[in-house]
Amino acid sequence: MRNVAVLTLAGLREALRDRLLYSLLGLGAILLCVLALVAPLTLGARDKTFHDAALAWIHVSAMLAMLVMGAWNLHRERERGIWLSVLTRPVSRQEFLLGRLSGLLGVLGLVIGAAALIYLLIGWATGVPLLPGLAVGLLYVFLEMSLLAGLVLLFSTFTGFAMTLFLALAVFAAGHLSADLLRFAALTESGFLRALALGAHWLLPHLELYRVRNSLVGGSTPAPDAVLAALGYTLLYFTALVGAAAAVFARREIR
Amino acid sequence: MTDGALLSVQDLAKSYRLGLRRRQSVLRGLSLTVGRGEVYGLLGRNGAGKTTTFRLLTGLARPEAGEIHILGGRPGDRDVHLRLGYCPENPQFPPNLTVRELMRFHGALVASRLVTARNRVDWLAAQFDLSDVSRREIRQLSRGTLQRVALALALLSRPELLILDEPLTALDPLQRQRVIDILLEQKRAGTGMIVSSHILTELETLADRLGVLKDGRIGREIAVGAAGAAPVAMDIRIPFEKSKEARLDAPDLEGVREGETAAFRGLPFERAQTLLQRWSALGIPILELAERRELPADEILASIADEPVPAGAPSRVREKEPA
Repeated sequence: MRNVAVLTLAGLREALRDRLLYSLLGLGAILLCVLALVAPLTLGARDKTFHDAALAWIHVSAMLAMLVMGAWNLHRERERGIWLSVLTRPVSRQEFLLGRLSGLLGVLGLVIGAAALIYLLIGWATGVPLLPGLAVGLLYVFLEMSLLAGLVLLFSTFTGFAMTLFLALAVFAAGHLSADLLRFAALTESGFLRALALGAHWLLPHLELYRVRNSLVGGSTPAPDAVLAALGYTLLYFTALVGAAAAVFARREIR
Repeated sequence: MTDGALLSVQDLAKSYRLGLRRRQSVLRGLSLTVGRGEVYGLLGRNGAGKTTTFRLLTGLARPEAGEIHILGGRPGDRDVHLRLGYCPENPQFPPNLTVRELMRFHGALVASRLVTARNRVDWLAAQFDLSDVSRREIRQLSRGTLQRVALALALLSRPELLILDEPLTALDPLQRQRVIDILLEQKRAGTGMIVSSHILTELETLADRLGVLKDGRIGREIAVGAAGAAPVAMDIRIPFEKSKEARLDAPDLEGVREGETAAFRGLPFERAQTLLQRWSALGIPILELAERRELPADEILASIADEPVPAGAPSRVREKEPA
């Protein structure tokens, strides 16, 4: 575990010096400021609009951080041979992957934390009241995006940057539709299609579990058992993704 | 495994996939050994398989056939990696870390082999003249500095075996000599090395044996300084405290301080003989004496080339440049 911690710290330190991180947060701060100024035009729905847009922005920032910083950095490190110097140290490939993943999750936590801070500051400066259940909303963003980080890691172990991006986005988008697959399986008369839809439903991540933004903005917070279920599901799916990534990476030759 | 060998490779084979059906065979029965304190120079044309060999030795790739015994274990073993130093060709590191952060990061990964990783990092930074750039980020470094960082990292865990892929590339002549001196010091301390280079003079200074990699195997092995060739130069080492006395009659003599000793390298053979006689008369102890013999460059070129090269002939016939 010591090696994983060393790799995580190095990954985090490097990410903190990445200009992309600050560009992402800076752009978001500008957008939120503009939104705070324009929100009163919504006639009575100012607070709701602001919270809705801010949560959406946090979601998008976290997603971009995972896709661009995660997938691009992993791709760049592999293509340039940066991995060689670490993999010839007494570090197992599993430790290496876990270290990279923990670094990515650390970056994710930082991005969500910094974006939330900007949101709170702008909200405070413009007199928008604090959103009840904000912490739960942020936790859901973290859980959903950690699955995206797992997908990025898995795909980057066997394919290039563009393909990783495409596959991660495709699975991510399909994951939001996995409930529809269940409905389709119930409706279809073809046994083959039903089996296919059911298989895809269980294979894809159930990302609709994390869709709580509308209810949060509407004033209702998810029940504790729903939060626990989301946590448990994330842990299970995430472990499966990391296991698959480790299995692929262990067989891979490093050029 | 050969007794006492740090590295023993037997009948190694490796090929790469080219497209869906074609495969390119890179290694076809490579065998070699490296002993303690021995430097094995690997020569060969571009694409001969030198880097592939190193990737197999470090466990980054797997052989299709053959056996590798390295430091009493297998490539990729944790204990083997702890006692191994590797400097890749064209080294790359995380661009946003500073040199010091990078070295400490690697120091933390091999900390179990070091008494204090921080002291080792600082010492190596001084040895490789990196102290001035230690706060600079990797992306700001020149190619030569990056190469020195890679060499310092290779020596970080006090390795018993060094695998060096073109280690002197991009270094200026002074840095090159400095690195050669450091590597020779490692060799004297018992570290085995396998080094690839395209520059014969470098290997001539460092290596005990040269293997010419051709057609996927060692086509020819040459013992550097083997009988048959006349000695052309000598390396002499004396106690540092005696160096002033030694240079009384030879003020132009240039040497390098290495700890408590002074080393005079590449002295022309005739002059070295004269100096040895004089120093013997003065009672100056000779700590080390090594002869350098001229490498049979023509023979080596012929071994590397696809077609025979006649002795003394230019390596390539120049065609007239079109108008």
